[in-house]
Amino acid sequence: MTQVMFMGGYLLLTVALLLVAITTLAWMMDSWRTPRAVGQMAFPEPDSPKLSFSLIVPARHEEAVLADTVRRLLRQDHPAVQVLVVVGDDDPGTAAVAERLAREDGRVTVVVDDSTPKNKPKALNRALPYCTGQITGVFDAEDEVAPALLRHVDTCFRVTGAHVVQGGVQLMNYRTGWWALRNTLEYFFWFASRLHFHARSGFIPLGGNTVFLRTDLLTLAGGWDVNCLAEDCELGIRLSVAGARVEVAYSPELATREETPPTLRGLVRQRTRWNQGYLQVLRKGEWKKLPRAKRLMARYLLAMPFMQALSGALVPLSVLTMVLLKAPVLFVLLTFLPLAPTLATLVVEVVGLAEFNRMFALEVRVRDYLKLVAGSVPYQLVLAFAAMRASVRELRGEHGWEKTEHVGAHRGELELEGVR
Amino acid sequence: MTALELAPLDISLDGPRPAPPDPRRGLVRRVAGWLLGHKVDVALVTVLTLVGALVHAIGMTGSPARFDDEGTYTAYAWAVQNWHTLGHYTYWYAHPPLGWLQISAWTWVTDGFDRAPYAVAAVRELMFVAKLVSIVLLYGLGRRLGFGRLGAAAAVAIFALSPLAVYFTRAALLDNIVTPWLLAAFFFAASPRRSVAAAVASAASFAVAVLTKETALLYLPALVLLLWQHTDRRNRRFTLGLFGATFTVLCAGYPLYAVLKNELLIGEGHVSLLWAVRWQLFERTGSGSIFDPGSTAHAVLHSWLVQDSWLPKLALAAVVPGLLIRRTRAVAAAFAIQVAQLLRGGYLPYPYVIAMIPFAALTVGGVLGWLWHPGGAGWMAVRWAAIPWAAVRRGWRACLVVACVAAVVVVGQAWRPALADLRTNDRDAGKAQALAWVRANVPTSAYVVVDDAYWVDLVRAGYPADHVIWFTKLDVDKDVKLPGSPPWKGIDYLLLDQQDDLSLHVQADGKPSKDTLRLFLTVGEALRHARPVARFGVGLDSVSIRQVVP
Repeated sequence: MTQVMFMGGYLLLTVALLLVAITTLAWMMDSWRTPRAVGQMAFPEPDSPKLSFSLIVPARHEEAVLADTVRRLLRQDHPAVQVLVVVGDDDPGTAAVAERLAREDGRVTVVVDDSTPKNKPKALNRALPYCTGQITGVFDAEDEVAPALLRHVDTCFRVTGAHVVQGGVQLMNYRTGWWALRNTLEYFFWFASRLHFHARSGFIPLGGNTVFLRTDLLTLAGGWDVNCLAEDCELGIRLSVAGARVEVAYSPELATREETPPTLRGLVRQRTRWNQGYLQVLRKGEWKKLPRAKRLMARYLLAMPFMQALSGALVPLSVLTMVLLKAPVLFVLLTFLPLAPTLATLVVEVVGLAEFNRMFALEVRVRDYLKLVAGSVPYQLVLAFAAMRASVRELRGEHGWEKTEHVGAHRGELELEGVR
Repeated sequence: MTALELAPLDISLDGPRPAPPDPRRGLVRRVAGWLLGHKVDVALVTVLTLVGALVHAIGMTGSPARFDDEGTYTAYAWAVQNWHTLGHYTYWYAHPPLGWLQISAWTWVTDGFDRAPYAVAAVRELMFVAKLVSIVLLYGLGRRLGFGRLGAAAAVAIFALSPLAVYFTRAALLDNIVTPWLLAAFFFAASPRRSVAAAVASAASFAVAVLTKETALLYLPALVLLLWQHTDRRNRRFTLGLFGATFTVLCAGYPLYAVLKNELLIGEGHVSLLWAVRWQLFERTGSGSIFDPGSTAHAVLHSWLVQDSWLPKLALAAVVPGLLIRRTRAVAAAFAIQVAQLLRGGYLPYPYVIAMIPFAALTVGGVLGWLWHPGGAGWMAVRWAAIPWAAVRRGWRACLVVACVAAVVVVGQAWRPALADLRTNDRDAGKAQALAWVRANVPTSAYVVVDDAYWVDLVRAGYPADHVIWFTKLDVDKDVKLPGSPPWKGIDYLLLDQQDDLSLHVQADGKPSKDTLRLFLTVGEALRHARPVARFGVGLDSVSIRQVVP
């Protein structure tokens, strides 16, 4: 009897894992589902600019990279750009860099954030009242932004009638470590494909930067939620509930280039913060105002990092138990089911790396493909660990902001010297 | 496109939002819209399916007469349904089991064994369903390949009306379950949207086909060719990648089953998948060359041509142009692969032709469609637009119409008597009489060695399962036990048809030959000590009952 119950429970878990694996796979290759869909991935062709932009750059202990980032933003081939650098009142180093930039170029405004404790949503909200552009965009201090981006975003807003435009963000330093390759590819699938699906389905967690919103809408929404660790996701959910039209566009030459966290520990911290943020959004319950079908999607999506990470950890475990356990052959065969989409995902990842290689004209080698395959299970375990860590922190009520440090590994060495 | 300034904000964050439209109504409208948009095709395929159904169904339990292979899959399915095992004897990986799992699902859901006139007939009902599905898929595939209505309808007509096709697609064989899955794989691969989902559906259908009968694997090159033709550069890597992954992963379930049963590798005291594969590929006795009049292969080929020589002739005539024309290339390749395999020699099973028929029909239909509306033939591309005179086109089409009418008349003349025979001739009558005779005259306590076509019927009639012994299992399966010593003395009756006699190398006078005694020890000795007690039916369909007198 107990064995039957155990087997029944195990099969239920198996079906759940199967569903998670299949949906994850379907979403990660959404943009390649048909040739037509591939054509919809990129920004529309730009025409002459008509709109005005305010770009917020929150900077905290970023004196190493800030100047370069802002100067690049000012080189945008768009006539109406305002850059707002938000610095903390306890961070004189970064503030000095910001002041110097403001003296150099009248389009730069420095906003001082005197709140305690400090976090990114608070910094963004500080800057919002000073935004004079019709469109407000967010960039991180280490972002490497393409000079033609704003002209494309400008056209995108007008052609599609969107309220929000989410551009692509792409990690580039895929050779930094075994996990960096997988982290890079995660970004690729997320921005090139999966976000497009979420935008289409009318329920989208926005990205943390290269996100552009109508300033009037943002003001109406009261800015970002200062209590949320994933303020970008939270804003996306709130705007989705309001029925905002979100357009996602990904062109490799326009993607904002970023770096992976410098260490595996950094990656775990970053992932913990995101997962905990998702959990907070889930608990906040704003998504309950959505219509029924989207509500199910919201619940599923917000709980997804956990299910996905846990499924990754459970697959090797289930293989092990099933080999060791004496159970009917048919039952054991069924428990192998989630392995099928998992293996298919691995194939899609390999294909994705080839696509990434082609789109960014990189020199990905056989070694990198092998690393990708070999890293599959360990990376899932890392994600599972981060998910568990996030759950524990949220339960304990630890809501501190574990900030990701930046060293500029995505930039060429020469450029870095110039900054120093 | 007009570039407007930013429009006034048209949403608020607290106002009520309009209810979304009911998705179900949208679905109904979409289906209705699709049907309306394809009304000519829908009407045509409905008529074709009806005709195919009538030709297939009327007389399907009478012809062909039930035979051993049909009985084997019937018995496997019966064992799945009643004993929850993969066969009525030890499952030894002769074929992957998905075919008779599908059969058992059918007989279980429809209560087939209790309803049909005899056990094999219950399974033939599923073949009828498979035929109808195949007809629809065949038409759809023809249309997707750009054959036009004429070409697609011609392919279906050949598939539904050739006596060769009717005869073989009625038989309760794994090959007939493979056909709809194989056609589905080709149908999805030719998806006009070129979607990854279609490639996955194609791979899944193909995996089911291969797990139904492993010989479907031969079609892989043709299927990949079709998929390649119908994928787009922009998402080809994903399409092909997921096709490969889906197919491999699903097929891996079969060796995985063997691993879990500890039956993958060859070892003492148990069956094994590798042994079965080795036997199928290398050790099975070949059937000789089809050109050698004394060979089994020649006899098998002859038995096909007796049914219908027109379909093979037309298909062989169409295969070379079929390979040259882009739109028919993949299906012609599928047919050509089978022809090449036929020429190569090796073991040639009697129902081998089944898998060739739909692709032969498609090749012929496709070439006909191309003649009607040429274009896109690769290096020999001819475009109608390039020919300025509409009169030439009209004249050409008039010639084609005349040729088609002539072909229909000639081929129709050849097919009519054969189709009439398939409709009215009860070739199974002798088999049925033999079964009735056994039930009336042989006590249920007797040990009866039988052709598998009778196994389920006898067990269902009350003969204990271990007393009804399939003749090929003697001396092979260690679980088959006879009460005599030597074992042949335990046999009371032998119920074997003419085909079994041939495969046992029994002499024309009914006595065992030297080969019989050498290769089939127990059956041979039993035959030597047997006397005929009854014989029913004629020719290859005849069946004899012999009593063993020790």
